Amino acid sequence: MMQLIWSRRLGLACLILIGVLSLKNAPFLISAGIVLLALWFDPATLRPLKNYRFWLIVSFLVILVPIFTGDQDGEFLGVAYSTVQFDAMILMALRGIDVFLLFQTLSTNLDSNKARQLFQRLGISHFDLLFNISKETLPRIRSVLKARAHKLREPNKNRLQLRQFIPFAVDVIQDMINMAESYSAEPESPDSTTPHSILNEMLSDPTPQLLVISGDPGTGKTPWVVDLLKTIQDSGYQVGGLISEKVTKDSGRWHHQLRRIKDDSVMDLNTMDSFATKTHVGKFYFYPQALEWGVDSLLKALSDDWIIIDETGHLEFQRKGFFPALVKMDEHFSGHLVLTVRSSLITELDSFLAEHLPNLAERKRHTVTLQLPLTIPKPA
Amino acid sequence: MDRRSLVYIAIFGTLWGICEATIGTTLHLLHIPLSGAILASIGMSIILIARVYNPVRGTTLLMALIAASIKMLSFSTIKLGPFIAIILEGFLLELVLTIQGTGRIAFFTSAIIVAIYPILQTIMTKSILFGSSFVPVILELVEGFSERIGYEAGWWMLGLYLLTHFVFAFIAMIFSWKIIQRLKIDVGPV
Repeated sequence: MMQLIWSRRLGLACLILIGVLSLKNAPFLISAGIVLLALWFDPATLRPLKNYRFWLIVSFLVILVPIFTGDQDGEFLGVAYSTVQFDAMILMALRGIDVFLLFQTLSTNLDSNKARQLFQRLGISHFDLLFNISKETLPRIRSVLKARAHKLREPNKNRLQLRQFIPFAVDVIQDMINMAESYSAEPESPDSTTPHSILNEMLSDPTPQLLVISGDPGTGKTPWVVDLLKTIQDSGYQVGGLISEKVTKDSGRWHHQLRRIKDDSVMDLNTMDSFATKTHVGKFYFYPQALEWGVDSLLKALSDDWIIIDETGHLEFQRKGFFPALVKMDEHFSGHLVLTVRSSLITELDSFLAEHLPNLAERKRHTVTLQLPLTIPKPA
Repeated sequence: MDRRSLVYIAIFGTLWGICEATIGTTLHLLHIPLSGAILASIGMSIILIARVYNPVRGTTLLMALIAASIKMLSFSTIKLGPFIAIILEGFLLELVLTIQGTGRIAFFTSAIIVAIYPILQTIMTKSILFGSSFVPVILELVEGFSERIGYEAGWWMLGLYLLTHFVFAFIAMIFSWKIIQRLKIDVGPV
């Protein structure tokens, strides 16, 4: 089937090419024939002709060149023009349309998979492997760019200044380098980052500690934290705090709900439907009463051995969300604190802790970075 | 090529492809002129930074193949213009960086190449489309326009068009150099 399509495509392209080469003999007739052939092959072939840019250059040639060049032996609406140049430009424009359709016939409905097959056939080494890594890292790179763009816009809602782009670009490139270096390293042994092993490591030191779980959306931060919660509870410790659960409405819409660890009660945290609230991040609008409920739940857990907050981010960095509870924890909480955060916000978390929560910042810290494993076979 | 090189190519190639797809679409929708020169300059910045951190021969061309493929994912079909532009940029800068390394001279040469090649590409594609007389006709038009309007207006406009390409490319070169210097402080030496 593929062979058939290709032979039809190439056969038609050859016909169009013959038409282009003999265009001078009957320009309008041949061009009309080429348009009809292209339409018969696939109507999508003509679609790019809707692009105004193509017609801009054609109009530029047909109108301006006869007005400004050659002998001005004709007149239209009081404007003198060269008839010889006009005829020459009409021929040039028709040739342009025909050659454009020739390339369109060759490339219409060829998608990236076929381009990939072409690169493979050309024997470009590693291409398939690289394309697979690229597809795996694409969502993560998009998420980093989104987070950085959000950070760039946040303090400058009214105007963006050119000099802000260098720090923005430095942050983005730094994120890319960090991502590349972390993927370049051989994967850690899975045993070293299990909730059980982290708990053992933390319990070996009697001082209050901070555990940060970082990862992109979809890397499993919440399931990891839920496993940790069970492990801590099984060990007989009192745990308080909040788990943030994603609730999917349909394919494109979801929201988060807070689950209070103490009594398993839940409350919707946000929604994608806009409503009048001062608190919104990206596409989510936060319910003020849910945030108050969350802060209250965290304050009630101050006497527990462990507090888990899943997850901290932009809201807290803007001194909203659970920030009031974090301030109280910084002053009064003597147990272990567990925070989850998106990978792209990890450097911001450092500066946030240092600036607003100095006691928590000084605690001994453990970091678990969760990421989807890359399927990179060992290079030959 | 080791695991690290492969990961760098994939990540920076993807970043380039995403920039091409998102910024390219935005520039196209906003009808911003010289969008090809702007995209080429952004691509050059990503190439130069990636090459400093992954100085392995052949990586820039592979990055271009990835970027072109990622850009294709954003279209329903292959658009030959952007596809060829990305691969050509990757190929030319691969040559420069293979010969000259990643020093100041290589950055400078890259900027010159990136300033010139969109113009050459335009000349080449328009000559294929409209015939070999396209460039003489345009030059004739510029001359006729200058004579009719006066003040060498046509030549000034052509000069401005060419100059803008150089301005974009050199801003991108300085931008890349500054980012690398900042990264050396923040991340540490390469």
